[in-house]
Amino acid sequence: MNPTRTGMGSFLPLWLSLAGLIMLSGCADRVDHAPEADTVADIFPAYYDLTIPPNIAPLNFIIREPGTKFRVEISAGESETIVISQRSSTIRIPLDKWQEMLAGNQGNTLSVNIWSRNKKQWTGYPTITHHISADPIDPYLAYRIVHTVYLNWRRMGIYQRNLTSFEESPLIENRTTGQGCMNCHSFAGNDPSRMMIHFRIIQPGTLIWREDRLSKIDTRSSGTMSAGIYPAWHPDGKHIAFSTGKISPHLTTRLNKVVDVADRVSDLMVYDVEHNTVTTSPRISTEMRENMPAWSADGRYLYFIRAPEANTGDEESLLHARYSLMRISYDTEWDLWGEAEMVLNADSTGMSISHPSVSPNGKFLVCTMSDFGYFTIFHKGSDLYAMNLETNAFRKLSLNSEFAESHPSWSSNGRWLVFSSKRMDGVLSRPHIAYFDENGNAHAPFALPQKDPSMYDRLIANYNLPRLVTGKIELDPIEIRDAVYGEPLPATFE
Amino acid sequence: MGHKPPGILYRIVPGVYMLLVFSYLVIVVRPDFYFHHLQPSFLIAPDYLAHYLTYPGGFSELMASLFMQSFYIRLPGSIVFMCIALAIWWLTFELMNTIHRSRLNRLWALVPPALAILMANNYNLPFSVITSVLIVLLIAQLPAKKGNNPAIMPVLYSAGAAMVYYCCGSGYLLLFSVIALLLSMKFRIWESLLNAFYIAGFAFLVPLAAEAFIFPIPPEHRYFFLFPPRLYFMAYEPSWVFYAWLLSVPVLLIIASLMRKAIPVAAGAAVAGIFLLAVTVFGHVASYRKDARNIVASDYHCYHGHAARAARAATSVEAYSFAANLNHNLAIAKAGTLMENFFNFLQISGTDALYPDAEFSLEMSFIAADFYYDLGYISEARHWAHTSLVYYPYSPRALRLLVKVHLVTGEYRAAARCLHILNKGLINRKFVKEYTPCVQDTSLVSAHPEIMEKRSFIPAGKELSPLIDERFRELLEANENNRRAYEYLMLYYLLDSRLERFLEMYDRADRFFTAPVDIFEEAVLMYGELHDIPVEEKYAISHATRARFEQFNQTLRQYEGKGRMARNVLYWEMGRTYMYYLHFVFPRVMKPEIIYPAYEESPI
Repeated sequence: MNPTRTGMGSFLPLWLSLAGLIMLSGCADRVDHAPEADTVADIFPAYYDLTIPPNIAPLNFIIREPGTKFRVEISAGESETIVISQRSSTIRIPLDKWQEMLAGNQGNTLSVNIWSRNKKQWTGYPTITHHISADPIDPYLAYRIVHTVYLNWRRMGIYQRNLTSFEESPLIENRTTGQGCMNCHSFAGNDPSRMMIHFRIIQPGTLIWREDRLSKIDTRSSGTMSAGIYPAWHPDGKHIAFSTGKISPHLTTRLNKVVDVADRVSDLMVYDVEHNTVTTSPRISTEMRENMPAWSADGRYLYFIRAPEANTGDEESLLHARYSLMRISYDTEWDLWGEAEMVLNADSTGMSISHPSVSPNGKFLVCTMSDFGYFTIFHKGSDLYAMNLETNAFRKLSLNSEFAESHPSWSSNGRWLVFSSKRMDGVLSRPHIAYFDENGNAHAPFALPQKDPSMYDRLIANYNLPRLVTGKIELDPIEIRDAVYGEPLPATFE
Repeated sequence: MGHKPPGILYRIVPGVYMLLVFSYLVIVVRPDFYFHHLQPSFLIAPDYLAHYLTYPGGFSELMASLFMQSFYIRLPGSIVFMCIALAIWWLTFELMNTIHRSRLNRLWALVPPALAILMANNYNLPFSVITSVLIVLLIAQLPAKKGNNPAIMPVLYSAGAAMVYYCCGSGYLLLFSVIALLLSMKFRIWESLLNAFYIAGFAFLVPLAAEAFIFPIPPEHRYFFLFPPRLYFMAYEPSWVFYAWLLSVPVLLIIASLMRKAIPVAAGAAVAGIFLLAVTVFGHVASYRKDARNIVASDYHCYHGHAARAARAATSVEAYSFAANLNHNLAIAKAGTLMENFFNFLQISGTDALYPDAEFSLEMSFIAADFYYDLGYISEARHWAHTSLVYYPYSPRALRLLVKVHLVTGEYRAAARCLHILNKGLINRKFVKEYTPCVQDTSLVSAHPEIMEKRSFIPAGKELSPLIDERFRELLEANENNRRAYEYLMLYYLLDSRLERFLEMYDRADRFFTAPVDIFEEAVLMYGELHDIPVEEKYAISHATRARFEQFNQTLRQYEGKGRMARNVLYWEMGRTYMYYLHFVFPRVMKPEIIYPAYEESPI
């Protein structure tokens, strides 16, 4: 006699009952007939009704609805639906299936259906839909992460992030260079092979990466008042416009503008990368304050902002000046400057203009506007505006939030805008991406997707100067460290 | 048999010694003070943990932060620290035994744990210094136990050295190499020499290659990375105790090898005992810094609301300390006895001791954040709490304050973020439980008296005045019921001898005080005397104050022309009066110029 078989046989009714119970509970666990909530699910980051690039990494999110189980179905066109059913509220979408879905459905709609199970009852939420654009975004994003909210700092680094996945790697961290400051990373166009970074305080100098060569330059010269500050690469990749000057930060008791960074005096200059020379013109080095250079797409004009001179002892003129948008023609070949001309007068807008950035096709200029000053990331009311350079009409973009938006820049195809926004918590800036259509309309922006989106809840640091680049920056931190520890080559003034 | 020492010596003595060391740890070192001063963070979050694994030495720092979480509470912290010390003792003992097995090793091996605990008298000590040596000792067991073959030794050394380099950093690779070198001396001479060459070559070349090709560390960390650099106010300045700690194990291994020769047991035990005693006593003398400890204690007690203990610690500091002065003032302010006890501390900094950012000093960031929060000057509380976080990343103290600050300012999402981070830590459950409902249902904030009171104190938005009296006035303009602002403003006028301004505000005292304030009455009498005005007709002055004032003047007259003697005599009787301050302290106050950081220092 086989005792096992006998045992199984005698327990058969029990097995059948258990199987029936499991099947019944399975029915109870189904979401098909779950009642639907009136509002869409609360998810973080707020990924609702977006236009997304066909090559973006999965928009992982956290469901902030009560529940012990969650189900998410993502579908687009004929692609196989991505189904995620789990106890965790953090939704991590499989990278390969997501990429396949986006690549195969450009121009289509992507739907995200969410259910949560709370108190043994499933609840469905209205479908969230996104539009999958046919316009890809540049695959890399470079930014600085600085662990500070006010002016004092200790830890920072410049990083590059692959936007098609979650791979992030440091270009350089200041732990490597004796805790000095590094800032203003900038690229010629969106070219990862032509880049510059300033290093300050410890091992100071400007690092220029061009033609597979790293060089460290001292841009201070006898003819300019300081080393180069805010940079703008000329489209030819051979010249960089810099602001020079002196600034002073002031704390305030305003909770919507905790710091004012006053531009005490500033001018512009142009650095010739090939000849290691700097030049300027009396037309951009006036008694007034010229700052924030940006080249036109064809390189014929240098856009910049200008405010009246700060009068000594007059705090109002120092702190609360408004900047107008100007431009000046410049022939890099013959070093010929035209006349500075007004593009957008702060008196007519009633607002101060900063961070101009011209679209690659030359049609639009995006900038920030706030009630005064130029350092707008500390201004809660700072918003992005777009100006049509053909008609000079400007308007506030619909992508703005109640918090600060700043540091806008373009993708190489001009279809994507990336900028810093403090909309997540009002304190820390995070990179956001928005589609910019041919009519000059910006679509709803979305936060840079993260493998674990809750990292935004943990990182007490700001993302500065997000810049899109067309490929990976082929530099590693060791190469940069070795260059930073080298002696800078002084630029000469012409 | 005659050489066998009595077992009691080698069992009881280490036990008693360790018990004494534990008592020393609990009473003198105070791991809770150590935690409070360093604010180590530890989050159970992959991105936080991963950060520590990207550079040599990061793992040890992470372990140090983990162990230090227990230091938050005195007794568990002491037990964990003691366990680490016991582990060091045992591992050292085991290493010595591999050289020469002797009962004396039990005594000698007590030296490293004693030094580890003594080092913690300096609260700037990076605890990774201790965890790194612990890791080195642990890994050194491998060549010690298994490296009996001269051909195997280089393999074991290489594996161990690579682990030590990655976990602890280059400096500890050198320590490990020295230990391995001593352990390999047991082979024949040429085998030992070959091993020594190999070890020396490895210790020289591997850090060089790692720095050049693998880890982007600064060049100065290539060989001698012993602990991470910190800013000047947290910088650890090693004393001889630190170097003795680093060298103790190699030296003990040499001693173990010397013990191979027949040494009389009693003499060996006596030498070990005397050496241990000497290390303990001199180590204590070299490492114990009473004033520094009292300054930390005053901050600790002030933060935890133990006003009397904070004041006692602050007044125990022998050399004048600005931080102790501020902690004293803040502690009594929080206890509501600012006016009664203000001159218990000799306020030789005058008005500067009224606010922590009189000079731009980063080490005051925590005190400044607490001070401005207590005062209700919320924008500056926010500023300094965030500044604290820059220098003490993920500090529980800063994060907790920021939760409250953001609730006051209505930045609920930022408060929720801080709570989320605190929740990832190990020591914040109670706080998180208390404040999480406020971010889940923000209407609850209106029922939170502390938050609502601070919200009602927020001054009008404008540029931050560099003058503290202006800031106090702004607070009173925003809310005339801000008692703390009134108290500080009045103290400012008193300390600056601006008695006319003081008298202009004197009438408002009734709003905040039910009984006469002694120092206010003394100030009124001083004003009358200085301007020859009969103030007693206009202001009701208590009999006790008048008597005190009269006595003060009488003593002054008694010592006319002998100012120094008068000062000394009056200090004991009248040192806590406003008359004493104005006569003997006030004119010598030096006002520092407020210096703002140069623009180059800002990451903008």
